Amino acid sequence: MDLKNEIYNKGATIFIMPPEYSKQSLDLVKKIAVKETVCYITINKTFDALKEEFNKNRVNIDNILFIDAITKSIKEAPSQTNGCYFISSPAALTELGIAIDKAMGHNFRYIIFDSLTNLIMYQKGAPITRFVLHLVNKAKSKNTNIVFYALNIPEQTGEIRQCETMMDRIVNLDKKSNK
Amino acid sequence: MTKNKKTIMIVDDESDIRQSVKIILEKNGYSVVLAVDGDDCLRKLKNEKPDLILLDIMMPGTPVKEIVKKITDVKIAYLSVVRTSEAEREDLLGQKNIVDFIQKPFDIDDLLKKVKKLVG
Repeated sequence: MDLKNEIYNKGATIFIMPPEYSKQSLDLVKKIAVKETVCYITINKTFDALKEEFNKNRVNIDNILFIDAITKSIKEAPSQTNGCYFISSPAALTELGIAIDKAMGHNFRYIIFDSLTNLIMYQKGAPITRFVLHLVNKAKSKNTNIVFYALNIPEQTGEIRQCETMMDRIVNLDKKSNK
Repeated sequence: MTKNKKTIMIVDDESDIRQSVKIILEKNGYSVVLAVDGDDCLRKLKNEKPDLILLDIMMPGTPVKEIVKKITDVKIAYLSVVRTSEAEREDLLGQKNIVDFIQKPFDIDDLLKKVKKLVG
């Protein structure tokens, strides 16, 4: 399946991913970043790890701005470098929201949020749904395609279902939960 | 006769991980202390002297990088759901006390082998 074709134009899409989805994610960002701009928000891989992976797989990272909510928790990092904003922690939703708002000012064609599942490990309940609603509304006001990844984890069903109600399209790629 | 038992402290905010690793380690003759986050780990270290700490690298509360600075004389193995670059992993392993970096999800037998290698 070509994930790019599944993305709702100028709206919000959630991909319910299988447990190991690095390849699908890589293929999608590689395809998009050839010609279009992407803001890639990472809650599960460091900026360095993504850069290493993307460079190895010849992804055009010149078209990608990263927002990394992981690195600062595990090592010293500046607030920003060329190509990346670093957030103090995945639990810092206000800081994360401000960085994403700032990035949206640059009119990215796509925002990829990787992933809601990781975010929910650090924040639960209403703050998450309010945060996602804010991102979706903001993206729509900018005509940006916003894409969320999530896993089908029983403990997170409540939050993920809540977030799904805000999406224009839900794409389930997890064979197990399709059964 | 528990004086030769090695003690492992498991520090993880996920109770499933804490409990499953505890069961396996205890079955294999280790004594186990549990902590729910880094701050709890520091509190418990006032009374406990484990041979190894299995420390989740991303938890709520004080960042682990700050917690590690306060642990001076115990071996630490990171448990990490976060993917890092090779260089970052080497940097982390170069820090004082850090003896291993175990990627989650891990195979429980592999974890046991690593624990045996690190503390006997």
